[in-house]
Amino acid sequence: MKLKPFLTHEIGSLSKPSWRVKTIRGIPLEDKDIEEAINWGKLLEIEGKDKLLEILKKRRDFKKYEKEEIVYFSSLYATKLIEKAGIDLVYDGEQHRVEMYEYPIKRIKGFIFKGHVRSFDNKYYRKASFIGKPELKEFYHVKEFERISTFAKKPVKIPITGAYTLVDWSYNEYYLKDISPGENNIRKERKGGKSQFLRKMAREIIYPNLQALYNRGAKFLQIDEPAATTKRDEIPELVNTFKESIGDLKGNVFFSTHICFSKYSLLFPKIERLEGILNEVHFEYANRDTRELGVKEKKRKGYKILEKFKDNKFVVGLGVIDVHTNFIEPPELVRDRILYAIKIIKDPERIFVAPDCGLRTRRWEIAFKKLRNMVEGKIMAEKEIGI
Amino acid sequence: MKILLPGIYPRSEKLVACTRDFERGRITLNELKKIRRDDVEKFYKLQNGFKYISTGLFEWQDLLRPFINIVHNSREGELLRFFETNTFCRIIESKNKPELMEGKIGDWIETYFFAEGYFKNDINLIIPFPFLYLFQDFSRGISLKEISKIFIRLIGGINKLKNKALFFLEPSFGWRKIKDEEKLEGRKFIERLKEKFNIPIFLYTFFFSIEEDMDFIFNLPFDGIGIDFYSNTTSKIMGKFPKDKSLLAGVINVYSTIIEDREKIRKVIRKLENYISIEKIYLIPSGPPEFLPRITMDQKVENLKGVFK
Repeated sequence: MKLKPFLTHEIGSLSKPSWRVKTIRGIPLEDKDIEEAINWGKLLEIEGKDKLLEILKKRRDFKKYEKEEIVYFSSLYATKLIEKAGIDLVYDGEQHRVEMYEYPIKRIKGFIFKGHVRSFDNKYYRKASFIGKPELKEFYHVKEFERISTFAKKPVKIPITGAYTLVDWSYNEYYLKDISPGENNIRKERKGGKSQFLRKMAREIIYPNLQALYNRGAKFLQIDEPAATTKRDEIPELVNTFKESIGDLKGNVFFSTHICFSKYSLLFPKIERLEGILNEVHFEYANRDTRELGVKEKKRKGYKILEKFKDNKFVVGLGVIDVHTNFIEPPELVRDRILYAIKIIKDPERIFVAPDCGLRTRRWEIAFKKLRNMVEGKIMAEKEIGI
Repeated sequence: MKILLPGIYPRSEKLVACTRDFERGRITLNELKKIRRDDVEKFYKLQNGFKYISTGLFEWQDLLRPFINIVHNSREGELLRFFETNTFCRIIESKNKPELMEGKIGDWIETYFFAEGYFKNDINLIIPFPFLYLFQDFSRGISLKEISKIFIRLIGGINKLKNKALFFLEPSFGWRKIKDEEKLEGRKFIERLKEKFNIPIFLYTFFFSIEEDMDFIFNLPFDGIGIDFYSNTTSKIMGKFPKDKSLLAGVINVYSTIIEDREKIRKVIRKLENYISIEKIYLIPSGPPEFLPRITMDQKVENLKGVFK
């Protein structure tokens, strides 16, 4: 698949509008929530927004079908926000999902939620145990793909949480139920149990989901693996998991992976075994970078890992927007980050431009400005190199 | 009852939710503190009969954060993955010379190690500290020597209190190579503590195999050593385990919610008795208890009590 240089895309999540969050949680709407729906509706030129406003007028006690309509509209609004910012590949910012772990796990048999464990600071996630054979209850991203495709004017990219992350974030109690403390080869046992779990999840959960999306016309699929480098000696397992997840779909779909806030050097060179299977490898870079303009190495210290892409064929998914700050990157900074990448990678067709990660922790005003500047910075970089 | 629960204990589901509510301005600090106190109270009851009590550290966000409030010129930095887990810890950054806030030591100890005043000063308490290498790996601009110096002063304050046991948490063994000069600094630090103070001191290793460093670890003048038996094989480790030290046997599996089979645990204890006398064996979690949800951890502890019946 031939794609244009510096293709822009987002990475997954956007925050959810207050009128969507409150209605689903059963919290009465306030004037400011309705105003938010009106203002963004105008700005994004949402067709049929009057229908949404009519539903929201109730402010409380929404019926199931009304809640479904509200989710539909939040998906429509978010997709249009991304389109309006000028992004080439679009998505709805996970408006249909809870988050990237709980949402898929709820749709797979064999898991049971056990309770909250800390992620960082006072942030916790609901962790599940894997206790039986994994089985898909439904193809859990097809509905959102079909829905977004009805209103998106640009190609749609669907993110899916990868098998490695789902496994690493769960307790493995099916393959390791008989383990005894201090037994011989205990670490090997644990590793073996994890390999079995990974294989099963890749083959029986992720592959069928990807296949279902492909069968319905998806051309761009992103496998999210934030846990990829958690365990240094499991990179070969990670690589195999990608192979098994993608299987015979390679070449039929543009596959990208998104990995963030990790020690990327651990992935090389083993990840190169995925050339021809994975098309794009996206990392977070801006978070590690300076905010100063320039294309010298000293200014672009967040982009050191690009050296590792010099001798392979992956498209580099270049994170140019820091998602953990309200600082709006000026287009010139985005431009310089792209130009620096060109200095290393040489080929503009091998560089796609994106934020570091999903923008769900930013308000829409901030996310929108950041994305718009990202597109403007990309245009400036194109002019600079004459394409 | 020969069970000890060092480290941060998991918050209850209610405390997790209420902490979120507090951060979003839905409840007051006093309301949050009341719920936290309920957690402490229940946890205290769970440990009825234990030689040393853990306070749970329910207000701690990670093992290093409290030190920002006692070290001048330090502040919290970026998130860093906590070894090979899916929990992230904020590093401590120090741009200038880190110095202890001498006048605040008493208050600092009271705030962080007594569950906001729940426990009285003379109760048998576990005082957890990150060990030197863990602290160094999660800090910037603070040398091992500076960490040692700060710790010795702080532990001096703890030593004045009666009936405390100091537990150093250290997953770095087996995770990275500890250099010879680091080992030397670690040894000097522990020797200094033993020379100056009479508080019992334990080392709690977890997450990794300690085989490569066991000669070094076993020869340090600790009173006891904790070993993760879900990352280490008994026969490979226990042959060299010093007979004069206590063994903190990490047999509560923090990598799984399955409640341990008591008979299996009894078998493990019998096996360990081939190497060390039963009086010296304590059962502990294989790693930080907060890697399990509260309800599961409570069930595991209750179940383990039955091993001694």
